[in-house]
Amino acid sequence: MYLNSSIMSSQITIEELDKLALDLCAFRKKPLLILYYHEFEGDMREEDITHICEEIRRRGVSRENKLDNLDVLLHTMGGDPHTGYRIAQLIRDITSEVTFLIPEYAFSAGTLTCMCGNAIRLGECAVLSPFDISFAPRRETSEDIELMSIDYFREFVTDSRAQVERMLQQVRSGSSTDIDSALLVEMTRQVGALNIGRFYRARTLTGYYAEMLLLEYMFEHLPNREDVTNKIIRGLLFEYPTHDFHMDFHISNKLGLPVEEMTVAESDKAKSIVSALRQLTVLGVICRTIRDAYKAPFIRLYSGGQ
Amino acid sequence: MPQVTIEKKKTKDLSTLDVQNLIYEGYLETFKLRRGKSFDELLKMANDPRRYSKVRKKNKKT
Repeated sequence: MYLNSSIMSSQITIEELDKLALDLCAFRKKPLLILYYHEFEGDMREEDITHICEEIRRRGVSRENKLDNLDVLLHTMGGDPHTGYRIAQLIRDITSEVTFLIPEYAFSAGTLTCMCGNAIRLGECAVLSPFDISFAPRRETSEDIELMSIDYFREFVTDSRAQVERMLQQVRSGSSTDIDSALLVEMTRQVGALNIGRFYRARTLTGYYAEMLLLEYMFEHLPNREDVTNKIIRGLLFEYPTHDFHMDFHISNKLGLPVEEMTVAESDKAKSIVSALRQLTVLGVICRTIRDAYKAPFIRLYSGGQ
Repeated sequence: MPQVTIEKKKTKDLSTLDVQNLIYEGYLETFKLRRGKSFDELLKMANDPRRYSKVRKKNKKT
């Protein structure tokens, strides 16, 4: 049996959420697509694509009946990069221009989706993240291994060898060192040779998706779009220290992404929507549990009377 | 899928709560159909070369 919004008279209601969303639509003068994934329990998955597609069609929008402009309010900790890419293409299929509104965060695959935007507007203290790959063989039993950790380990191996060789030279020893191979063998033993192969393959894939979106949409009209794209991909995949590195407005701007800071009024409106969504999820009205640690996302296109 | 469900899905005037309920039902349905496996897991299973070698062996026997 479904929970009805009327039972939460003292709490936020779904009608109030609608009001907040329509208020933002009116403020921005654009239709608004909300994609809300509840904390770590709502990762982006392949199944989402069908439901986003259905909601868009339900509201009378399609490839043949495109919107001129669309705001996408995205709130996610990330998930499957294939899904991140496909949602981006789906959004671009139905609108000529798109602006991403990030009230709090859009990490990893969420950042990848943003790469199809003409602009990314960040709420107060909102952040994006690199979209490096991390793998957990079994979600509940193991900590994720980040590909960046492997990169840093390789750097550590190189530094270690150089340091030992310098030391041997100083003591005028004729012998050499194989500390690097010993360390690499140990890393391969711990992570698994095939896993390392999978990490590198997946990184190539994420880089490819990002390149497609940046070249085709975000920097479509820039004469030096290839240079800008390469710089951003290098930064997002290789140069930032960790997968959960927080890229705020200043870092994203320095990287070359078309980010803008929301005005205080806009940021408050966007954040109040996320807050309402969070409360409604906790109350069990939306984003209900499908299985352990996995909740359905909130998907809704508000046309704002346009 | 019953015709009624399809028509319901297409209705433009569905409320936010109706949409979320439909989405939830859809996820549950997919979850049941896939017997609790994720899309990635199913993809791996479907493309596992061992699966085809088993089929080939069976075909040879018959």
